[in-house]
Amino acid sequence: MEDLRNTIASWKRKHSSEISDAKEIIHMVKKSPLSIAGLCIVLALVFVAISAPYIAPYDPIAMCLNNRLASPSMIHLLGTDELGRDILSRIIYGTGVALKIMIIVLMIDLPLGVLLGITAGYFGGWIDEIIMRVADIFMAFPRLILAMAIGAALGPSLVNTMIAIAITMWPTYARLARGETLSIKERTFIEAEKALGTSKARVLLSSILPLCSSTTIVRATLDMGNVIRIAAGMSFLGLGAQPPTPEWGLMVSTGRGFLINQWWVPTFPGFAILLAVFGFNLLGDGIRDVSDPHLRRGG
Amino acid sequence: MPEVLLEIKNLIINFYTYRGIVKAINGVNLTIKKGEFFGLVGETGCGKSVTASAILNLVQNPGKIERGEILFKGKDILSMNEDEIRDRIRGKEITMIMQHPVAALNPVIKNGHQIAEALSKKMSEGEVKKRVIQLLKEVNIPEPEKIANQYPHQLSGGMAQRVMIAMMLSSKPSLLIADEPTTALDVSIQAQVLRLLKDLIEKHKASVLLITHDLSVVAETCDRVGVMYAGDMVEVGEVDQITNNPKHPYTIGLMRAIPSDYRKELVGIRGSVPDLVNPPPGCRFHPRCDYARDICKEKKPKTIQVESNHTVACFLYEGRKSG
Repeated sequence: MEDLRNTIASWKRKHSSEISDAKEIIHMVKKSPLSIAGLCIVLALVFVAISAPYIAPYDPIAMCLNNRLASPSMIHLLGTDELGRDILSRIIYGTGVALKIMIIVLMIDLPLGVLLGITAGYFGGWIDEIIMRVADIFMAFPRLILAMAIGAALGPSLVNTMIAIAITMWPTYARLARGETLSIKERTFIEAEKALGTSKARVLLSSILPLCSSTTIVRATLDMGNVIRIAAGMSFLGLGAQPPTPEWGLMVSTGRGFLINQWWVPTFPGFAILLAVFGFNLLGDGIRDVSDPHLRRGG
Repeated sequence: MPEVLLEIKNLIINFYTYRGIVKAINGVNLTIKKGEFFGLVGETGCGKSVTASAILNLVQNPGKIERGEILFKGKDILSMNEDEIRDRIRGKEITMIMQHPVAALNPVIKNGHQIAEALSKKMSEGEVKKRVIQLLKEVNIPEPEKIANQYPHQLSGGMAQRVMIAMMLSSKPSLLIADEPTTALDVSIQAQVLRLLKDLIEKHKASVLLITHDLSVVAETCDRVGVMYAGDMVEVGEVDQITNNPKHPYTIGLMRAIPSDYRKELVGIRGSVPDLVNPPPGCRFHPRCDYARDICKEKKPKTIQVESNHTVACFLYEGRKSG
């Protein structure tokens, strides 16, 4: 018992700076109930996505044509759609699809954009010119329209949706990372590292990359809601997920014909989109506030 | 006579800006001998730091080294390729201490780790740890284990400069460039850091190029001094010669501008530093010089030896026999 206490005490001493950082962050988050709400929504979404097979009352693609368009009841909490599929189960499974799209898109975009951005910012000259002009071309189009065009060109499927969204989003990260790099590379410690004979690649990856990552990650959290929204939008237009995938945008799309008489068919998936985007945006705002030292001191 | 470690010959550096070509370094000559503490003084913008970065071939855009040789141990650094400089010179044979010690340390890497990065890659992890602690002890840092585990922003300026010195001495360099190492520090800490630097240099038998605008620092620590003005090396000599018997009107002016017990009134140098896009013709100091003659406006003065180890670039001493 004594030993355990000692090890805990020494661990606390060793990590005192991390612990105080964590405490400060917790304090900040506590002060902003909206970001707590965002965090709760996101955690709930993640939980639902992971445990979908266990909590969904029905199979999301099992049809029951005798029971088409049943209104919400104790048997089908959110009713059934035009093929007699349980809407609640489809929304629950749809959570996983939405999160999967979001995670994969950001996993492609964030490293790609940041690497291109820091390369452009650090080396400058024609490398910068090429990368940033290509980025400008992508940014010249509204994101959703460009994603739709690319998605349509590639053919409608979930994978192509991800590719299309990823292609439209990397320039934001590249610009952000480039801007950060431009200011970081003029700082004295980078000069000192060069004077120590550190190679360019090493300066780039071990000094500049970690310093750019915080801003770009914050930006990514703010973009999470956007990705879900665009993916749902593309599915709604028939360019994304194809039936019978339980995808929210697709469910709204197929249900919109029933809006007047069977309102529950398109409404509940729509609510799911709203909730998810809302949750991620609140969380993103909260993370931005916590990670911005100016706001932190002032707040 | 100790052997020459570094020799800069006729170095010319220009900066290509939108306003025009800034002639920052205008044919500078400089020699540093083995084991010597050489001070380079001059006011802001006279080219001290650019000369220092030229030694590591790190002159940043839009600066360009136009001409000249920088012979280090007899080999021209400017004609080496980038890999060779990186592998042999930077951080190995020649290291550099910066002006703002806290800014010169990477804010997101722990102190011990930063020093470790400067060490040889061949050592095992345990060896590296031991060596880091040992280096920190060498620069008189109390509780080296604790400091090694902290981040740079947790250090005071003096501490950070000592960490910097530890880092820069870790590769046992033969030349240490110290670019205003004490400017950002308190006077009391300044003296400590300079003493430490001096002791360590003697112990490691290295040479130092100390860049500063503080003549008292030079008088206290250096063996020889070079005085720069607007990209020219106007006077070079031993510390005693420069402080007690300055020859160049600019150096004389600098000396007169230092407060001391004997002088009730401080005398500044009239005028201000010339714009180096359009430097004055001839001697660059002539518009501010009390002794200027017609020839000063036309020709650049040659370097003349006025006593042993003491050279000056001024027409006042033209015609005197060297010796």
